[in-house]
Amino acid sequence: MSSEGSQRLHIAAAVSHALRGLSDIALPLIIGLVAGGRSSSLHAIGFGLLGVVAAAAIGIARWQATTYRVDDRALHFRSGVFSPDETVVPLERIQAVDTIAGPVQRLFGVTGLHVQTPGGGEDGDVVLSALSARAAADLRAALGHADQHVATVRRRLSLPGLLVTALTAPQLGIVLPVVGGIFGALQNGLLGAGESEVKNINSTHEVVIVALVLLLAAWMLSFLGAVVAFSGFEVQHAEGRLRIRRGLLQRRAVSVPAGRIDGVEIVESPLRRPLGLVTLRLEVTSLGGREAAARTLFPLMHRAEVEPFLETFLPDFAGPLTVDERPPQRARRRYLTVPLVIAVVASVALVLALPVAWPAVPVLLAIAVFSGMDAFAAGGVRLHLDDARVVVRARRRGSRVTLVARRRRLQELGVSRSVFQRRAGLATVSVAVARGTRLGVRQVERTLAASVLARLTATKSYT
Amino acid sequence: MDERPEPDGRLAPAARALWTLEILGGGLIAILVAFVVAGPLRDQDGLLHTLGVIGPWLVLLGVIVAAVVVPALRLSRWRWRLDDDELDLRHGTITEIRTIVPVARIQHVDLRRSLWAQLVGTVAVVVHTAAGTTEIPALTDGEATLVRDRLAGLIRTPDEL
Repeated sequence: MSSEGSQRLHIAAAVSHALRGLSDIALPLIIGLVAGGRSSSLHAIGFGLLGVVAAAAIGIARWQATTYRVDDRALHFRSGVFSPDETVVPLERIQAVDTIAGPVQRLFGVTGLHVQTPGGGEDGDVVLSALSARAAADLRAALGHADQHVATVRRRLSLPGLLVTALTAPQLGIVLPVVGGIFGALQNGLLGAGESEVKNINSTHEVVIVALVLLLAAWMLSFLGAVVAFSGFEVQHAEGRLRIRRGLLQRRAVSVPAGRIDGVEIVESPLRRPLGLVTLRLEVTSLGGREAAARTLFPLMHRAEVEPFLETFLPDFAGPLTVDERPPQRARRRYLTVPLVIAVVASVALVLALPVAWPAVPVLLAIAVFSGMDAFAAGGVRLHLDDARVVVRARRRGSRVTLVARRRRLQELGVSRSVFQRRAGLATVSVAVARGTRLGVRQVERTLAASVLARLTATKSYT
Repeated sequence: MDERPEPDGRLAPAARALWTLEILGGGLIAILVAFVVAGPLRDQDGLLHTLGVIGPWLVLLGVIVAAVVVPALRLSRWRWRLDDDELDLRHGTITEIRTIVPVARIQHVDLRRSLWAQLVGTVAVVVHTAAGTTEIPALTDGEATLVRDRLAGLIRTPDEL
């Protein structure tokens, strides 16, 4: 691309603008049609056509008014039909150039480019909605952010991997109550006699069937959600950056400088852990409003693959993931107290409210004992003076979570001791990283807590 | 064994008056609710009647005891320290909580004066990091300004940005 002279976007940008315009006027149009619906259907079609034509005209006008050029210092971006805005982004301020491939872009075989600046967020950045492959490559070259086809390493989520990810999606816990609520509302609304229907569901048999149906519906929803979110998941590492792409309907791409990453979380959710599978998540402090897109580092891999993966993609976080400082044996029973109390209270409440549900009581107690023992087995810290990382492992909401963080980037460090812990010489240590992800280990020796406090913070040492 | 020294700075003595006011303010609502609920309870028989008669007075007594005891305990337990590297806090009576915030992670600092705090002349210092907020609940005006100015001098834009 010549550095002189302004360029237009690909004509597909007009379609993209037109569609956006159409979706803006769609609601008033529909309201108008419904309100005036009595007159004739010919009117309705007329209005619809008028809307489409207007949207197309606006799209073309906006496409004509949008130009960009790159000189040796900055990217100049001009847009707006009636009040043209010119945005100038100095080349050295450009943090990354990401590819957008939404439905429209893919239909026309073009790419959109998202020019990111630090702290730019949604508004500060320049978005070029449609460029031909050639123009995109030229622009990238001119901006000094050539396409990472030279990516040194990459990893894709395979189709079987996607299916397993979707089948074991942790969204189940979020979707289930929603489906339950909808089910309840439907029952009340459709049958009109919610009261009597609820009374009908009294035998254990029916309760189980209703529960199974709800579970299946929730599973389907969560399966579809995960397929949409994680289709084509790919992570690349090149020139000190991670580039993550994902998504079925809207392809999202985000680029994260490796130096901005404060920590990596290895999450073993209840459904995945028995299969030896984990999810990797990124802990990033500030990415100009794009943090959410960079939450997942990789949706699914085997536990044994994690260490080699980190060595390749994030060498700063590579190293042993085992925790060698663990809660002492005498702390074991303290891990059981809280879940058992909760289980007993829940059991009493359940049996009082619904006596037929008594078989759930031993199940609740068993779950309590299991989760307590598991939390005890999971809890631990790895803290070596010659290691720039700290590893904290604990059970959090049913999942076993291992947090690997840069020791010098912790946001907060906490030690708490209840009356009981003080008498037993125990303490709870916790760290907070990035945007408030906290992970704590309960019931560790007081001396370990003290050494964590002393070693995990500033450069000075207390001896 | 390496050990970090405990923080040694105390809060402003007026924090006691501040917390007393806060507890009385919140307790007043609880007392009103208790008296309103107790009315219909007194029409019942047996245990519920007794509860309706003495319940609100128990609430009243509880609020007064809390307003006297809690602020003194809390004040005696609260310690803080700020040096060039960290803000170090320790507080809590039943559960003792120690929090350390590296100064390098602090994004900005607020001084907060609530209505009660203005009455007794204390200031809360609220420290914001990416992960959330931490506060020193009651310092004298002079101390709070010192802390803020010191932090303002220490906070720099991170190099890696």
